[in-house]
Amino acid sequence: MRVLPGGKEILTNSSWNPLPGAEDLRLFPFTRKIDTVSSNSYIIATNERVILIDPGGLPEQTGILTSAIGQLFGTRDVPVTVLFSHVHVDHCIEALRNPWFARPAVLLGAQDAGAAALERGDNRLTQAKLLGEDLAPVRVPLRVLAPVDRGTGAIYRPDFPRSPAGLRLRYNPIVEEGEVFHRQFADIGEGITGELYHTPGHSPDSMCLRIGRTLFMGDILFAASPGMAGVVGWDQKALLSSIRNLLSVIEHDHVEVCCPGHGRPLAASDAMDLLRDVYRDTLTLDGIQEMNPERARFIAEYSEILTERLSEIFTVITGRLLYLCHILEELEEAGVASGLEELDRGALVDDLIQEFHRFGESYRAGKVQDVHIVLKAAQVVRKIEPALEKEGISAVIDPTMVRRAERLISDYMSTVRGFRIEHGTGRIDLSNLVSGIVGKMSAEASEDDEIMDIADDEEAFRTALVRRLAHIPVFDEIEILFDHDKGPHVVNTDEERLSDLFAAILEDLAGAGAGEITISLVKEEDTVALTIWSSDLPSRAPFSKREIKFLQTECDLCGGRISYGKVDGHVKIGISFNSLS
Amino acid sequence: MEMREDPRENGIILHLSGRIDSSTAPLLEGELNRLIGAGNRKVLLEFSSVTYISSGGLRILLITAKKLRDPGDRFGLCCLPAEVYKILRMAGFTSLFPIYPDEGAGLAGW
Repeated sequence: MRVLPGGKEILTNSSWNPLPGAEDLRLFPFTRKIDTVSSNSYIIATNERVILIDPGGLPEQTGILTSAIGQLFGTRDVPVTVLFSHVHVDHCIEALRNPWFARPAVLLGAQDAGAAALERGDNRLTQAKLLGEDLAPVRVPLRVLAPVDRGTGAIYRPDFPRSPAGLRLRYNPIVEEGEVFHRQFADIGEGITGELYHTPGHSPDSMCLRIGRTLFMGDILFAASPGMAGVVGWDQKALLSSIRNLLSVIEHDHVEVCCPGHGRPLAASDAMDLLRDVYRDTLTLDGIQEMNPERARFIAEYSEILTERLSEIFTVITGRLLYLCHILEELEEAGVASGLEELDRGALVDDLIQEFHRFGESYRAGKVQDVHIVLKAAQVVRKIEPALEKEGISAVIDPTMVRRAERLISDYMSTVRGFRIEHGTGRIDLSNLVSGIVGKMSAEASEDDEIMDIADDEEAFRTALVRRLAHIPVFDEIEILFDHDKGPHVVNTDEERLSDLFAAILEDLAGAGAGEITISLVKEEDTVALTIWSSDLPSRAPFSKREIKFLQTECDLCGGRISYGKVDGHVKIGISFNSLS
Repeated sequence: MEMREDPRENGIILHLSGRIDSSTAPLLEGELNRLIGAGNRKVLLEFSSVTYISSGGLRILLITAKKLRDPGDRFGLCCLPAEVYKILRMAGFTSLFPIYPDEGAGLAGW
């Protein structure tokens, strides 16, 4: 049982509870696991009427809600006022499609901008398109917190008396330090007045409702989350203002229980902590890109290749640790081996990748939308990140592996959060860069003299031995030819990113069975062209379409242009840059 | 993942297809244990239809290689797709057991 600081239970789910702070009213919370399919629903009942906040998106949810109403009112056709905390489809679509809501006893209500969006069947503002739905226009008679009401003081909305489910409304803004917080009083019945607050940011029509010491807060706690921040209608400045206003309401009106649109009800102190976190996160979201259906499609494709690449790197890292432990055990260094085994998080990562793969199957079968796989990948990536024991692994295994995994994770999370991927830039001589990488790939683990010099120091010797054993000579049977003209080959690029991209291409060719790899670097007028190919590859192309797309993205971030195709019977990869010399 | 036994005169081929991931690696381990337990000491894994191998899969390969290293034992892999070969090569596993281009090359010296 979850309790408030005073020792009271917060709320029992899917049961009628006294409404905290207005105990004459009853509250039926229906909360469910967090997803984008359907929101929580909350029913508030007086003896005469019902207010239903967010019917959600599932027919079975409507079934539960209608039987809860039936528990209190039997077969009586009680007036039902439906209020949408905002009109994203996961909160409202049942009310638009289920015939139960088309009965005369039911009145649909939303903030003015949300009502207008539903009445014109706006698939973008409602996120219908993003979530794979298509809305038909629906009439929403009860418009609350409408700009037209501002300045009308205590005058009630004229449309209220026509329906027994109508609400008596009175505009009463809160003005603090010149900032106006739009508020409307709503007569709930039995002498109780609720307060509706306009809290835009997550969407232009977001609103919260306070009755007694209970606050129904919609999705404001998720407004800065990756994939949600930046959705059509999202507004950073408005969100910051709404959070400040809500914090003030919770504090000054002694709110005890906060009921979010997703997830379990919270004690007010916990909700305030979360709101402050959202505020801090929102401050960082300056200039983010809009998360619209087109961008969701782009990121969805990116998420699949990302997880493929991450899986590959983690499998290689784990494989190298396994290999190293095996060799050390053979050398009767079981103690050192068991220390390394502690770095192995392969099983955890395997499980996460497997989980994502299953989700990907549903995605490819058209059962889930682009945005769903984008969010799933973000969830998986965030769980994978702590598995990367950076220091420990980098001490024994090629640190560029860890660097590449870290960068993949960071690039993806930046993209999902709506940021442009950060990349450096500097004047680099490509012939030096390529020579350096090729030299490193062909190098031995360490010179014999080096390890012999420290043979007397047991600890240092053991460390050096581990490093030597950990060196995997991926290219030792491959002849790498580097051919370049006299240049100069100075270009503007992100050196570290380009080095990793170049290494990844060579590894892909090695993995495809190349026995010889040729690299050419040529300056032609104002272009520097780097070309990589193998003349003895087996017939199968080493790069899938998806991989080429990934290489293209990486290449863009390096300031280059990629080309891929068969030339003279060989698969060639070209990266060209504008010459700076 | 699917597995199919193919007993030959000089060893047994286990044809694998699909993904060797966290859910299927234990099945592969069980099957290999069963084969070895039944006295098969020369085992060739045929990988042509394997689309993915996880670290759990690598672990099973290593464990099996350790079990089959008495005099006269044989353990190897053949027909590796590029993506699987790349993982084995990058992880250093290509030096732990022989990798053959095809079944014939694998069984020839056994």
